[in-house]
Amino acid sequence: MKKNAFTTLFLLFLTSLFALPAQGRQIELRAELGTPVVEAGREHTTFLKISLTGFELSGPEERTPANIALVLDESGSMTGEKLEEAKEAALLAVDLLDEDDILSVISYDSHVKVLVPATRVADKREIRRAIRAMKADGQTALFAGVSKGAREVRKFIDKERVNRIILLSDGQANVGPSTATELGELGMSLGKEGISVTTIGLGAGYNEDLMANLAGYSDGNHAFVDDPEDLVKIFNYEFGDVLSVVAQDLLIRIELRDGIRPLRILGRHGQILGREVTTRMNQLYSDQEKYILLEVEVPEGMANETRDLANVTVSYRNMANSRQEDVTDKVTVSYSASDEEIARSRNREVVTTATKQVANEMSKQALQLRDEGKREEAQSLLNSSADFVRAQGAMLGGEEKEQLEAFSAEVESEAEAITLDEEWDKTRKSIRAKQYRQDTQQNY
Amino acid sequence: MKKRHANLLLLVAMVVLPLALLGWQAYRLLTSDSEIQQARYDQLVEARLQQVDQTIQDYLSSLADDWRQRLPTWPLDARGLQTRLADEIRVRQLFLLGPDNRRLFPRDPLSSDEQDFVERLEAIWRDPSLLQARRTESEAGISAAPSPSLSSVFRKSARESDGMQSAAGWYMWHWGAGTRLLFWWRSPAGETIGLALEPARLKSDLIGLLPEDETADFSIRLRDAAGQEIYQWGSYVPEPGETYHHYPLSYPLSSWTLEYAGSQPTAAAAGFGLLLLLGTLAVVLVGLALYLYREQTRELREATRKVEFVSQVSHELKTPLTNIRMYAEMLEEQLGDDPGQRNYLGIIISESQRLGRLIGNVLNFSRMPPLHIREVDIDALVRQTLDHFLPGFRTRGLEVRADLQAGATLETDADMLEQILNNLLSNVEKYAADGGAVDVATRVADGQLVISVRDHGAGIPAAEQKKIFDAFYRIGNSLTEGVSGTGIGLTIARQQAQRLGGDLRVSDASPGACFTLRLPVIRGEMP
Repeated sequence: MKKNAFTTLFLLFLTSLFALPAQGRQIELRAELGTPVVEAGREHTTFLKISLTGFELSGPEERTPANIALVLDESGSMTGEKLEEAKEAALLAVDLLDEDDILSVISYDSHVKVLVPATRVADKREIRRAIRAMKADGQTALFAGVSKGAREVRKFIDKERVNRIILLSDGQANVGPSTATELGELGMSLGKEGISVTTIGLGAGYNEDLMANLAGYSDGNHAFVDDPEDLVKIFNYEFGDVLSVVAQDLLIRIELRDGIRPLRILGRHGQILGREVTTRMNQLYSDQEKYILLEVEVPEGMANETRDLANVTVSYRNMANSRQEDVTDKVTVSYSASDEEIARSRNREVVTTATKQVANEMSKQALQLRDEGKREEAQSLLNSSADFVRAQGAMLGGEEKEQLEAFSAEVESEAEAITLDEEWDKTRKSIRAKQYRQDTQQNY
Repeated sequence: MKKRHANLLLLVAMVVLPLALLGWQAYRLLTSDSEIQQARYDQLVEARLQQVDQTIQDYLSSLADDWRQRLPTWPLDARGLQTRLADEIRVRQLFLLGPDNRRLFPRDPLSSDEQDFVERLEAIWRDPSLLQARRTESEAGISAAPSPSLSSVFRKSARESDGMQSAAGWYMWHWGAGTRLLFWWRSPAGETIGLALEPARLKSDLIGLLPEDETADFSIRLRDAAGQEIYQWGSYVPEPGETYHHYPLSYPLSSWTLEYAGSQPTAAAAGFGLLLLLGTLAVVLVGLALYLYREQTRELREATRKVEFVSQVSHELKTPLTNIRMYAEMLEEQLGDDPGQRNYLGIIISESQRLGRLIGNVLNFSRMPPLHIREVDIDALVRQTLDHFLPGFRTRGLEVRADLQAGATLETDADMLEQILNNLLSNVEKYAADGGAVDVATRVADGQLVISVRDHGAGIPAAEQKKIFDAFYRIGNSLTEGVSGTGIGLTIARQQAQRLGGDLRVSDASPGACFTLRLPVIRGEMP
């Protein structure tokens, strides 16, 4: 009996040993409050941060196969270095992919050309030849280019693949639908289908709102490339992301408990229905943290009372084992009369993140003011944002203080630049791209 | 000179007339051809656009089919619908009406998007039968303008609605400048679900479906209700000012249009071919005409050269001939009375005179000698000339009957006048000797000096009377047979008469011919 029991225990131990790595191969979910302990006796608003971190891939052979459409601008404005660098970047993409991946190459000017229909990346020579033959001419039928790209991706669309359109443009879309709203709607629809669109704006001529919308609603990346020589680098980052997807089709559900009221989601699109908040992410990259920041209202409570605040469930497709999985977490909030306890329990990291995100929202407002011609108002808004960030830093102290001071300095220089006419096109694009990075935690 | 002009005109006509005729035929052929081509082209355009329309209709029916299958399985509670809405990639918003046509979804409180949506569909809430009405309206549209593509979407829904509770269809309504599409489905229990399509996605899907043909010889554009270009394909670049052919899409996208522009290659090629043919023909004809013209002028040049040669030779002959005559005449004075010798000498002198006249004719023809105007006693001149011919006439048995009544002097060139008479008399001697007599008369009438020479020979047929004055023309009959002649005598005589301000004419005198020379008494202007 004893021996039997021992054997059973040993077996259990062994199983757990094998099971452990399997456990670790899940995405990591953390739901945290900026102020887990609040002052008793009055209402509060606080930030709930739900962060998701992709697990590490054990090796390159484990990566998820990709299904990519490169949609490249070859309108007249691309003539010269821009087109050459774009070709280089596209050739790099061909190098980075292998036979398991699907690639299509679409170019657009006034018309759309499918240079390489969706195909396995087996005959790289043929694909390279098609890319090298591109010639710049005509106008910018961006919408049609993306639409054809989507069609190519759809030919091999598969939950087991990273389905993505990578769009490069240096100009205003001027043939076909070309408003930021329409492209946002298209992005939304493609996002629902599991196709992300990464938009790369080249030079100072493109419409950054349109490009950011298209990327934002489809959960792709967005980047502003001033110098065409940086294109290859950006493509490298992008493929770094694409080839490190560990989870796809993430549905994040936050159920707030009685009395807790959701106020707003910062940075991302989501849906608030009563006390239930849902949002989606198309994918999660290996070793990268993405988060949702939700501002909530907490009702008054008594000292030493602890309440359940929210249940968070994330359903996703684990690309490592091709299974649908769930992870859950719970958040509670406590009330205290002691200021010291409240300060001690403060989650410095969440507060820092929230501060940056709030500043980002203010930056968006400032940009809108600037667009309306209210330069002084935009500047003073950014200045007050910088002050706010610095004050938060001072409150937190330590490492976070330095971090936030640096951030505050960035906001100040933004405040400086926002009134200038000189190179405003470029400045606006760089601000827009920065906001986008902050919103989506894009790592480049 | 005149003749050359006439020839030139003839040649030009020879080129221009057939070309004009051919051109006219070609034009008629081309116009009728281009009508046929136009009809064929229109058909082709129609077919191409219809195919595009059909593609779009097929897409819409596949969407409709898909939803008709899936909608019955949907949970009809708010939460379920919310989830479905989040999953439907082509749907932007949806509504649910209860069997009593009360709106069950979206439910109050509405978000701002939902608020907008609900307000825009106000008409439906008031009268849900509008959805159906739209369908029937579109069906009426089909019967009015039959288009095979139109019906496919609605045929099914119409069939289903007959006697069954569930029905489905498209509904189009205006949103701002654009249009929105809505698919509705009625469950057997009487609930109605309406799915509003995401317009950007609809456009994107259509673009994905339409071809990206770059080599085509046409260009097609798709425009939405607001007139915005959605997509274009085909590499044809229209000429500035060239219009696009418009073609509305079938319901429910009937406010969208397809625009077509393209080249009409076959008609153009045919026209080009004809033009090429005409051009070649023109070149050939012009070449031929040029060749003929050159040939003709070459002949003329050669003739001129020959005449020049002859006149040169004649000129060279003049000097020895003058010597022969002079010495013969001198010999005559010194000769004794031997009649035999005198006879021979007489022949030498008269023959050398004849030769002198001949040479004079040739030289007159080729070169125009200057006029020497002086007072001339006409009757004396005529008589003197006749005297020269008397020996010759006598040997041929010709009697001269002179009736010289002019009795006047005239300011004229005596040599030239004498030459005219010489020519006329020499013709009588040569061709009308068998007439037995020649009447020579002079008179003044109506301010004109008239000299007539009438023979009693065979006469000249009326048809020939005009031609005898042409150079080198000789009547080809027994009359001229065996008689040598240059064929220029009368030509020169008439020319000379004209130079002297008068004219030389011939008339029938049966028997014989009568040549009448008229000269103005007051000397006329020289031509």
